[in-house]
Amino acid sequence: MNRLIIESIEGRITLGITMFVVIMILIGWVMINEPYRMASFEEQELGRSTEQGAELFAANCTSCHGTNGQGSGLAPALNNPQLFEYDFTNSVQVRDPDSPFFGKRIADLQRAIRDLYLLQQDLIVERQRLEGELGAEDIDPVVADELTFELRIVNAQLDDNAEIGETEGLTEAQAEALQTALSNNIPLGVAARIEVLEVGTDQQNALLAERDALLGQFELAMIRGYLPNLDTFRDAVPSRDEALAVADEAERLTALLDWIKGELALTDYIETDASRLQQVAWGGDLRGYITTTLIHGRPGSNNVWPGPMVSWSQEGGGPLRRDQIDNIVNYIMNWDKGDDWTIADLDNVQQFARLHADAAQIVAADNSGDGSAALDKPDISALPEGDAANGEALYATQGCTGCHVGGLVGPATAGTWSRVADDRLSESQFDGWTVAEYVYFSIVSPGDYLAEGLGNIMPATFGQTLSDQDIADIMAYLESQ
Amino acid sequence: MSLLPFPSFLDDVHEKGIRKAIAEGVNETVERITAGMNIQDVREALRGEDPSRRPNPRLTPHADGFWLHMRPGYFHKDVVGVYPTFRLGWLSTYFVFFETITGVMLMFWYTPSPEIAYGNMLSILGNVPLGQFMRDLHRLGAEAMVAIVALHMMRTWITGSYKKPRQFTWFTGVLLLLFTGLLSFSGYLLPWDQLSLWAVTIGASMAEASPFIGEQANLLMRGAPQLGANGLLRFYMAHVLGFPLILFIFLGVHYYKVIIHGHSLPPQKENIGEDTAKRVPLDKRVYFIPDVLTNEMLWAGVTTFVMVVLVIWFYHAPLEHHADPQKTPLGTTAPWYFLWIQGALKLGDKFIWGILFPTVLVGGLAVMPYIDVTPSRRYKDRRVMLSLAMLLISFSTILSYMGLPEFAVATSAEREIVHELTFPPAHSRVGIALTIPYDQLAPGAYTTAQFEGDDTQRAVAQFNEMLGAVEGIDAEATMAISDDLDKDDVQEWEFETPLEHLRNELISVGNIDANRIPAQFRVVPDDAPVLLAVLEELNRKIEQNAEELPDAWGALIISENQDGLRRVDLVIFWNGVQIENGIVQIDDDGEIVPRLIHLTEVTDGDKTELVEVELAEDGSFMLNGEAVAADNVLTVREQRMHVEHIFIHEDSAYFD
Repeated sequence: MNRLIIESIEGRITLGITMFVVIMILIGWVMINEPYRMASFEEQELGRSTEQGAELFAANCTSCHGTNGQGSGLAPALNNPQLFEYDFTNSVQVRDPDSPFFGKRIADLQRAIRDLYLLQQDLIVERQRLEGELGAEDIDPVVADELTFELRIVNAQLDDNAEIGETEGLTEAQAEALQTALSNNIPLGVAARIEVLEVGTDQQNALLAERDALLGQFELAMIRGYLPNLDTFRDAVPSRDEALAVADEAERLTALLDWIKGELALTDYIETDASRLQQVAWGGDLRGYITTTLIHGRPGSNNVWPGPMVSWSQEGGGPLRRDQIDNIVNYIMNWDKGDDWTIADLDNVQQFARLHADAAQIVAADNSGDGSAALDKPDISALPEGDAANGEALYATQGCTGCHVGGLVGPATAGTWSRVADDRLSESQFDGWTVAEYVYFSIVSPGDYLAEGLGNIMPATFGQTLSDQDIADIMAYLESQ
Repeated sequence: MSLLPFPSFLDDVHEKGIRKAIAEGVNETVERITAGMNIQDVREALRGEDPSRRPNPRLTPHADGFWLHMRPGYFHKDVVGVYPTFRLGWLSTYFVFFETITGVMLMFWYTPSPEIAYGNMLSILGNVPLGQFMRDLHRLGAEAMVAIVALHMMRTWITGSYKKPRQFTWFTGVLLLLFTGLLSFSGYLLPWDQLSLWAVTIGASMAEASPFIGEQANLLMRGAPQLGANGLLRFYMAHVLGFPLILFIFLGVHYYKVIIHGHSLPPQKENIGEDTAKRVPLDKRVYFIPDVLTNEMLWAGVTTFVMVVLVIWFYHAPLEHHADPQKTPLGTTAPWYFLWIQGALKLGDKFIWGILFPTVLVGGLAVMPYIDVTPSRRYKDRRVMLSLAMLLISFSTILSYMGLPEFAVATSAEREIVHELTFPPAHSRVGIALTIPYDQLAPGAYTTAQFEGDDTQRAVAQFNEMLGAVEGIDAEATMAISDDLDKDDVQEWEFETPLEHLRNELISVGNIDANRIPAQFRVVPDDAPVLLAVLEELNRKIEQNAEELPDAWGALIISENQDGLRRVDLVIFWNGVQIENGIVQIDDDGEIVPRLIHLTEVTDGDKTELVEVELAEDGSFMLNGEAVAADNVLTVREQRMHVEHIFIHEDSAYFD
């Protein structure tokens, strides 16, 4: 025991060097595996974050956004194809693999035709200009030659003139310029290409019909609410047949352009409204939109959602830490079904509070309350002594802090006791009430009396879900504020 | 004549030829680097030969060089082996440097702010190559260092090495032990997860108990009444700057004293009252170069290798959920090396056991050599001190055990059971409900009733039938009807069935989507063995607590929440019993006292409802201060329910 473990110096040196080499090899081996380990850690962490987000969502968000994120009369659905920018009209596209337009959507086709019409219009104007200049009497023959050449190119582009490649009668320089123009892919044969596209008219018509049928399917969920003007919009679009019937070439072209622009506007309109981000003209991505909304809340809107959303992050004065906000965002993002959304998903969600095709589905925030009812003074003599510290914890976990901040959505937490004593209890119906009785009453039956300017949005379930001790704790906390 | 305007290497080349000049140049460089040993000397040393020239060139590096000036040139051959030091002092020093190096690495990836500290941890684990490796090394090293320093102290105590002239060495050693503990403790907080926040909160709460200055001490340490941004910053500064600085200073003093007095020889090797460590006869000398030096390099290699192997295959530093001051986890403990204080705290007053006792203990240790002044270091002469050492070991072990949550912490059985099944990963352990593989989490409701009898199908079917048939459960708490009541009477009132009660609870408190609650219980599918094991475990734990949870059944309700995310609700139903201070009350006949609830009908306008009445001490019933006739009172046995839920994501991989 009182000797060096390895007596010989060679042994010590050999073992020591071996150890260091083995350590290096082991670290190298760990290093090689790091990318895989880190990737799997990230994946695992996202899963765990989603779990915690689910917990937070259930505790804080479900009372307005619904247990399954499908919305309620108070707040929009988040488990919602519209939030995730899923465009149902995506599926309307040319499905014939032999077609030159295979995979193109109706809007792509229409844009292509519109561009060709516009080009055709430009070329016609150019032709008229060139012809006008050539018709002048005192024209220099050299200039005339040039103009003739240019006209030839314009005509070729317009009509797919077969003579385009012929160099006869051209100077050497002109022949070269023509070749350059050709090899530079100057669009040729507009008329011919429009003809090709017109061949696809049948396909276009089929797609238009298909799209209309599809829109009809989610009309219930979307159109009358989000696209209230769709019908008028559609009426304003000129008909294609009428446009084709115009005799004058130039006017017919203009009429056709009007028709196609109208159709395109309709398509664009629907595509835009299929995405909430585009609707609110959000500049960032979806994650940023959800995160920002959670952190700072959002104002109420006159059109669709009357109630504002409070800021939930501590940065914005709310109850949740930033990491908790991220957990909730991960949870919400997990609702994305990618390409698997169905129209049934759209039908199941509450898109808007005030406007809906089916009046029965409107559960719009009832701001009236029924403040007229005779109010029974609650008996709180049996309430146990409250513990303010536990009350504070409950106040956060029950989601109270979400709304009771700033006084806009719910009465502010700070100064509850003095505010009730000074303002509320001076109202006649609360004659003889104590502050504690009023506060208890407000927790247990929040909708029975509404202070001016506040909506009836507080869950009325706290009387059932909280024990007397919990309520007493929360009251003790409020009293300390 | 010089080739250049000044004497140079070129002159040597010119004079002696290039080979010789280079050889001499190299030799001289080596001699300068080693501060005294030329190539020949190094070669001889590494070959284990005796030095060929006098004076011994292997001593020059100690005399002339900086790096070895604190190391002795030779040791007594009786102290270089495993006994009597067990290399514990050397290992402690090794870990000081080990922790410094790994700690500095981690500092590159850490910001001491509650906002991002935890995010930094996730990024160390998920974005920094070798980040997890470094963190594991640092954490394991910290735990090892505390243990090794403590063992080093025990060894010194046992061999009596603290005695004159080494009293002050021992004193600085106790300080080093203290600061090792404090360093480890202050580092505990930095990940800012639930584990660190609550372990440190418990440790730090003792400061509050100090007399007079308690509040101020607490504020100074935590930077606020509760640990927050300031507290984290203070702990960080203490961890990376304050404590290491003090530790390094006292490490210097400690080692200086060790060298001044020499390593004490094994007690039996010298006469009583003599200290011969500094007088090493020629034939007993083991020179630092090469023997001790190569030995230490070997040890460094072996120890590092062991650490590396441990963190690759056997140990990962724990990381729990983000710290949340509002959620106190069940079973929170201080770090293991402070468990003895937590245990002592359970003995009584916070000040006496949390402040006075540890202070007296550490203070007593520090001054021990000045009190125990007996000269003999022989074991047979030191029975009292050796017994004291054993007592210290025994008591700290017992106190540490008492510090565990298993000891004298009253948590109701149902909470305990659910917690044990669902607690998030901590110290390489995780609640087994979380380990159910995602594909075994078949949505449905499962009950422990399936273990009754041999035929599971029949057991569950009967259970479903029984639950549906029970009509009598009520209002605020759910209640079963006591046996002696006429059931017909009861049926006049509207009761919830247990299932309805559960349903309502899940919807109103659990915020579950009502459509996702299964209507009936079913047998666990065959392809879900882990799910079955969890249900069995739930059943086993309920049966173990049969006294506190009589007539109980448990259930697991699994429902879909999102794609890739399922929810598991754990439910325990039982008949309430009287419990006081965590002890089930037993009446004179040895029967467990049930919890009874007394109800009466109250008619208010058109509504008739059941209201609980109080049982006064004289046996009469009171409602809002008014007496209620006993005939109008229905007494039922309280049936209780406890529900908690967890979410499990398919990628969470708790089972790894």
